[in-house]
Amino acid sequence: MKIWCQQHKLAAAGLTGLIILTAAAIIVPLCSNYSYSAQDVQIKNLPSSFAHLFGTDKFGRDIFVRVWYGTRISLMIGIGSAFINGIIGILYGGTAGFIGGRADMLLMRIADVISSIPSLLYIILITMVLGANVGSLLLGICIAGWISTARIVRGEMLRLKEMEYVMAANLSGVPKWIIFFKHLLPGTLGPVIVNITVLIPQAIFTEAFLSFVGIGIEAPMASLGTLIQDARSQMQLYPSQMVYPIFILCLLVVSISFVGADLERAAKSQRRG
Amino acid sequence: MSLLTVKDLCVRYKNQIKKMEAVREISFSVKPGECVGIVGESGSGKSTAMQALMGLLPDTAEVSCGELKLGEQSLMVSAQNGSKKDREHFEKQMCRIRGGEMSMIFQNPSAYLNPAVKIGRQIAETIRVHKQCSTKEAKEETLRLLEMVGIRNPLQRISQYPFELSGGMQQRVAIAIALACEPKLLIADEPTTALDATVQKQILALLRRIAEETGTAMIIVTHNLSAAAVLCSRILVMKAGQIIEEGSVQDIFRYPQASYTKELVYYAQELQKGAGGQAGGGVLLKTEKVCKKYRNQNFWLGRDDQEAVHQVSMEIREGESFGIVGESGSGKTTLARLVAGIHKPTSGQILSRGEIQMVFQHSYGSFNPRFTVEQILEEPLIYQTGDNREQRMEKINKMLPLVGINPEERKKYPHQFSGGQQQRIGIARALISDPKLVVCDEPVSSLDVSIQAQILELLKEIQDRRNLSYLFISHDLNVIRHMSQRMGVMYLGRMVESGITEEVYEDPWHPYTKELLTSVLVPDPKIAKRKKRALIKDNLFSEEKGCPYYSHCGYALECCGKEKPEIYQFDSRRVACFLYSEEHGGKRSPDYVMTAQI
Amino acid sequence: MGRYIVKRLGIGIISLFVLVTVTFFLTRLMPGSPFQSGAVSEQIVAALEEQYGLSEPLPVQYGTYLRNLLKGDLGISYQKPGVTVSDVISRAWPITAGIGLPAIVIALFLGTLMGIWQATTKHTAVRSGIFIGTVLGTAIPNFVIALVLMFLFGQTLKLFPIVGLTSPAHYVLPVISLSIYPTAVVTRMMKNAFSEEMDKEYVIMAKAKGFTKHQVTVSHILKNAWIPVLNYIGPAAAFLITGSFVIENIFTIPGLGREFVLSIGNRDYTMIMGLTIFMGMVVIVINLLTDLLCAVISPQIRRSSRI
Repeated sequence: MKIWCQQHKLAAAGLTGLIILTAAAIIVPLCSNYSYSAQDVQIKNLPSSFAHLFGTDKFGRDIFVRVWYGTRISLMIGIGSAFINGIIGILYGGTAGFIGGRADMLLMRIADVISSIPSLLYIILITMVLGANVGSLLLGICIAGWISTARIVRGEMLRLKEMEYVMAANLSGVPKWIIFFKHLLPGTLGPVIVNITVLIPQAIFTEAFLSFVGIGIEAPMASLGTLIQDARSQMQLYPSQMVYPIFILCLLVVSISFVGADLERAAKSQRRG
Repeated sequence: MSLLTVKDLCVRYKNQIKKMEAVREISFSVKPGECVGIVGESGSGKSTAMQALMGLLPDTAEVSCGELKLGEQSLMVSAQNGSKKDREHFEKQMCRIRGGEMSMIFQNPSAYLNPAVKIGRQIAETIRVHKQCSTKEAKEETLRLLEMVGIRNPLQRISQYPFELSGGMQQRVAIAIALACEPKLLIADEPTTALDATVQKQILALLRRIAEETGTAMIIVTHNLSAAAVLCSRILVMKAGQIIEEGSVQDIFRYPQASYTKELVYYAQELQKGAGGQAGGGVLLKTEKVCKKYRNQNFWLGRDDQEAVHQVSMEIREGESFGIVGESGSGKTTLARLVAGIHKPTSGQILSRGEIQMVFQHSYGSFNPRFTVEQILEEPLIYQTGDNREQRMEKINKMLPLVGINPEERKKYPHQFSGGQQQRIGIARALISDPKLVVCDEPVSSLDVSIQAQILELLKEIQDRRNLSYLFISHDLNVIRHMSQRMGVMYLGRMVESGITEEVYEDPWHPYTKELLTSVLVPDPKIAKRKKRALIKDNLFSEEKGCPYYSHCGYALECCGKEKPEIYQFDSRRVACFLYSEEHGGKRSPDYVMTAQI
Repeated sequence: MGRYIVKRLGIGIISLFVLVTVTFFLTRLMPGSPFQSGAVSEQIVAALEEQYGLSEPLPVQYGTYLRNLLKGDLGISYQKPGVTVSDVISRAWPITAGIGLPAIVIALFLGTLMGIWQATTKHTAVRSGIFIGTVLGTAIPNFVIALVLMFLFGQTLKLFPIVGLTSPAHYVLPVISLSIYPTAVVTRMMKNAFSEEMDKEYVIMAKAKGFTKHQVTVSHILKNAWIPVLNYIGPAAAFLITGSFVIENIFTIPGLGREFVLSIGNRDYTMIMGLTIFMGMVVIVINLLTDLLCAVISPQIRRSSRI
């Protein structure tokens, strides 16, 4: 364990950050005395204090609690979308690559067309239609989010299909679907995992920015993006209100990115030697 | 007066946990115009030493040298590890020398030519690095060089990219680049190992001609003793970073002193021996006019269907070994896969009795890297027999010692074994489900000569014990002769000749077979240096009409360019050549015994 | 080669068509009506809807829209009387391009240089530094960077203006905010591609021919390593367009992004449609051009383009 931590300093740091953030996101809202929407105009715009670790915002809401509610949303969207995109991508791309030929061409053309439209447009329009909540954001992100994963899996599948160990497995009488799941898919997972660790921060970022612009999660629900937006109007007078959500957001995204970057490095050196 | 003097050259790699010495204090010299061969197995340090001479090793290598002189100049190769100033000075010196006075060609020309730059430009830019001349002059010089290395239509070739050329042509281009500035010394690192047999012979002949015409000294690095025998007057034998023997080429072959040298010479000559053995028993496999066509992958080259295998008919009997020899593009691998059942033929029939398994060229690629040896061997048993786990383990435990692997190592992963051992594991996997026929696709081509001999012995042994049949594929005629009782020769998808191996060897009937046989590298310097006829030109594709060998054939008749020959059978011999047809040989009586027409 | 062009064009046109259709139906599904702002009576709303053809069945509206589209008529804004969508677009797009193009140029040049530097330097400090830089650059959302920059340089230090785009100084902060993410991506890509090429055998051959290190870098390696970067221009353009939503919002720049966000808030259907189609078209065209450029430049892509 120790050696692993030394060799993968980045990943260790990232994971530590992630664990702390997730724990806080789960525990704090449960334990806190304040809800995310309780307004108390009397205590508005307070600086950090023992009672309100991050202070209060312009409506008197406790920022600390709201930040962790927001982190919850980010985590849900980030991990949820990565999960869904991952599964769809692996199955779609794997099938396309495995079957090959015309079916493959057709499947990839469809993916091409879907992906040539900027996905943000989908997301915005869907949130408009279905309302701004976690569900519709997830739907929007997942409409085209699986395509990059699918392309990677398909590419790997095409490459691995021609490998001699697949031929050998054929000769040994292994049925095709077992070859698919046991021999081929595991080989594609390396690049896929790296890809997913890039998708998570992207999803979190998309949600935060949409909420910031006002198209994502709606008030009074707290998302890190809405928090930043709320604080923006106070930027001149109370800059600290903006600092906390920004800091936590960055910490979250950077932690995941560290893990991802490290995985990428490891995957590359594995491929070389 | 020597051209190159090397004293106590030493190369160490810094990165490893234990400092490994790749080259340990070697000393040798080369006279002007002399051709020296450096022979040794992979890992002997021969390539590393040559790259050290040129200053091409990466920074992780520590180079030290007592003395290194090229002509009158001293090359401070040890300066590479010195201070920044020393390094810069060294680089400056070497930039002038590399390509100018001393140049190098490498094993795999397709990797060494820039894929994104046209051939002509790659040659011309070399010229302009060392000489001041205009674009026009450089172009003229380029054309001259291309002609010198035997490339026809140089004007057409200079605007092509490397991937548009065959392996042999790419190597010729690499030679042209190396000779561009008339170096005094040319170092060739495994120049022909990656090439086909016929092309190998041509390139070696080309190098010989260049040495004679221009007086350039050469160092030929190779693991193939026979290749060195063709070109060199002196040979150095290297093992584990040291030179263990040095002598004239005659001395090395006739009177090898060191035990390792004796081993090398022995193994090279072992493979010259025939196969022996009997074939009895019924027919195990029969193919009838089997064809395999592929949709063209390569739309840039503009052909729609490529026929990998065309109308091949053959049979294999129980207990017999059938060898198939051919160069790259001959379709032998496709045929092997058709026989094994991996691909389905587009037309024709394959009839077989009993199970067929396969041994691949690169065993490592044929194993799932995540499986242990035990899992690899267990897989065929799981899906092809009804054995339970205990029975399977028992079979595995019996099989491993049979191929020379310690059963205690079965939980290890393939990458933890050496190349030879990996081939053994591959053989074990092929045999474990008790097949009747094993297709061996170039099973030893990627191994060193001494290991080759061991693996082939193993295969023979197993065949005797189990009365197995082999379909043996190789590009190496020596190996085929050693392993098979009957053989077939493939050229561009067709089986142009087949028959009893010894007979085909001694008395080839098809012009291509004869050409192949003259390219065989023989570990005997006297025979090797005799001049043989060379091929006419390199072509990537066969002609549409007529015999595929028409454009190269020295015996071509008019009809050869218009129609494809049938397969004419005489007793055990089959030939696809018009010379043996009735129209041109005249009608014969039923008792007439056919003989070679070439 | 011709086949490839036709194929690519075909995909582009189909994509555009799908884009138009999807956007159309999605916008029509949005709750609320463009005329429902403030206290407007039901009758007036109904009358306005009828006047603008919004009470017809959907498929009919769709057909009308397509016909107009082919004529180049994107319709008129519902919110701003007398203003056509095309007007708004032609006014706003140069502004967005004004911050987008510099951002891309910076990303390509700076990214390439830093990537090569990272790949070739012997100092581990530099390598690690750039590496961490790229991780942070790709992770931290651009609006966060924009806000931080705005706060630090705009507000506290008062070095650069933060509202509008009236002088060259106004461009600094928005362009920097926009360009950080693509620069980080290009740096990473360049470093990966360069390191890979550096190890390839033809580089050793170039050295063996007598080229100096510098010559080898520029004329040999770069040619091969730059291809993935070229491929990235397409996605980068898409990113910059969506990035503009935020940046224009934060710095109050009257470009396409801002118009888009406003029109969504206002339920201005034609505006949303028009902007979406325009932006989508830009992305599709840029993707097409870069694909073609790659095919022209790299013979290997031409050779293996059985995608």
